[in-house]
Amino acid sequence: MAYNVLLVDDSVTVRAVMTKTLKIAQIPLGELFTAGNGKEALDVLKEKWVDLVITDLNMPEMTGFELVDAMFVHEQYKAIPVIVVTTEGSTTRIDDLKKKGVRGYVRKPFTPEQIGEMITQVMGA
Amino acid sequence: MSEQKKIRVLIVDDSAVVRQILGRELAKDSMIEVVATAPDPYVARDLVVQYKPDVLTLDIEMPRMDGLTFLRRLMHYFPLPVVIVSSLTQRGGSLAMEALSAGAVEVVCKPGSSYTVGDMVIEITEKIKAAACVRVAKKDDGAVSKETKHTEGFKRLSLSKTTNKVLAIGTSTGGTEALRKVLPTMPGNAPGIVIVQHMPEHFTKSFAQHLNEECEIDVKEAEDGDTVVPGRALIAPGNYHMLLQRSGAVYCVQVKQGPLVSRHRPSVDVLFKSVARYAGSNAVGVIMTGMGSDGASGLKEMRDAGARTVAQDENSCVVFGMPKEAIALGGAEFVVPLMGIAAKALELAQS
Amino acid sequence: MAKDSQTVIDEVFCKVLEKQAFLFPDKTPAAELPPQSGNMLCADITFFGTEGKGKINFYAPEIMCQELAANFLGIEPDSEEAASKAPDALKEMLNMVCGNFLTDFAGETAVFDLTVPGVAPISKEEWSAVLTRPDALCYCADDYAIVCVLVMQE
Repeated sequence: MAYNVLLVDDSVTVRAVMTKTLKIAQIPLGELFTAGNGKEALDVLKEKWVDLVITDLNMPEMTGFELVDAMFVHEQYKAIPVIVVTTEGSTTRIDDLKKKGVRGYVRKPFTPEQIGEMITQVMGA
Repeated sequence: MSEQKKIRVLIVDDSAVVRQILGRELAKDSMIEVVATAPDPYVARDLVVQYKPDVLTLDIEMPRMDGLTFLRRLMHYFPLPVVIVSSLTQRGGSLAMEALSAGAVEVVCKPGSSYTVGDMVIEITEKIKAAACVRVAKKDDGAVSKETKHTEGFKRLSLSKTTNKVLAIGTSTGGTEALRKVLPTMPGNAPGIVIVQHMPEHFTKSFAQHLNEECEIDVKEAEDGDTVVPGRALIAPGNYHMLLQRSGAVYCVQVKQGPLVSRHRPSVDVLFKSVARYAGSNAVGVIMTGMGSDGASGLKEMRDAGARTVAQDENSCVVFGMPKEAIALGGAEFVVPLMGIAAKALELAQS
Repeated sequence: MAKDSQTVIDEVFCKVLEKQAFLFPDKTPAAELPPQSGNMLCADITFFGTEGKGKINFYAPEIMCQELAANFLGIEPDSEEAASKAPDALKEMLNMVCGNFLTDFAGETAVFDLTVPGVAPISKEEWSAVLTRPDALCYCADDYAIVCVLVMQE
């Protein structure tokens, strides 16, 4: 079994780090897709079968908050687990996201172990 | 004559025992090839991509994974004919209905006390063959909520004069979705409707309940003795035959057990023949999508008895089997696309 | 008594640089910073919230940012990939410092909106001018100079 993962972050560095991290964390990776903001992420979701979305919050054009909102009203996308990886530290905001259905939250800077554990927890492997 | 290609099947079930049994039994059929089995939707997805099977069988009640979500995504990204396997419970029936709405083409019961593994293998083999004939289109983006989507573009028809004609409908593969397009447009004073939809026992009850919520007319699973009256549609319960009877000025239905007729129970032929006998020219017969020929000779008898008759056209059929046979026998006065069937039936009921 | 913002940002800056970039900055007076060669970059981020608003700028040599990128990614600093990702690495550092600064300073329940960080090259003159600012926090890491400026309205 392999998970198709969509990484959403406007920082090309973070996307590269995340890609490496996923491999180090020994997550069974199927296809890995990337997007630079919420809107690009929705374009990917339309075409590609994604099992897990890992997203930043603060992005241009469409933020992670807006992406989460868009996903949770969509027939197809609302069942896809979302993990937020961000510098956002406000518990108010994080609790709000969790109430909406975001399954996991990791603070930047992070270790590969934190990412691995979060994914394992969320995907219920 | 060219050699017929085998139907390539992917089995998705979390029970290793079921995968083994199905794999072994299906392999005995010369027309079927089991290309792979999968214990969960993620593996299933990867195997679909890898093997591109012709048909997929899916246990809709796997405890760890949401089979319905998997089905919806499959229909969105890699649409293919899916045969659902479900238990005979209330929940199973309900899930099966949702699965059919989501695009699955057939439903089969899991073995139970009165239904052996052997029975199931026979049925699933039949349904796989039926499913392989189906053309599946990509389900469009689910951005609009399901409820809105279904009722969008529905114009409820109207009937100026209530009639005591009987409308008899018979359908099989693809029939659930076809009925969901035809029945909700029926006005509250539509003629009494009797329906045979090939479907397992208990599923017909869930199906009738779902439809009832979407229709102005009452829709229920038929019980022995139910009257056939305007504003009401009766669906023959799975595994029983339903016949039209007449008691004075009133039509009613008889629901009874019996052997398979035209390989089915309920059988469309059984229903249509009884309508020909007891309603004669006071009836309209409609045969819609489905594999095989059940209902073809029954529709011909109805037409010979003076009833007006309609067959669904090839283009709008999921499987153009039963309507095709009916047309070939000369039983269909009109051939109409799915979206025009309700209007045509009402028009003929008023004539 | 709550720490003032300058103290907090100093702590956060050092912590994030060490943890994420494996660079160990020492606070250094501006006059004692080693001269820097090559292009200089400036990254900025602005934050707005009920607890205050402000802006943080980082100033650093491009070559140091290249090393940042290399450390993030676990690749060679003189690789083409590290060079191409250098400006982005500086932005991301700033992003992380800002996020962590805001929770350390204003508490975990406070809510802030952040702009998307920007980065641009600056001239030698502009760099020199920054060094003369009284609110410039100057650091030396290996032979690199890096400056952080926090301007806040509470």
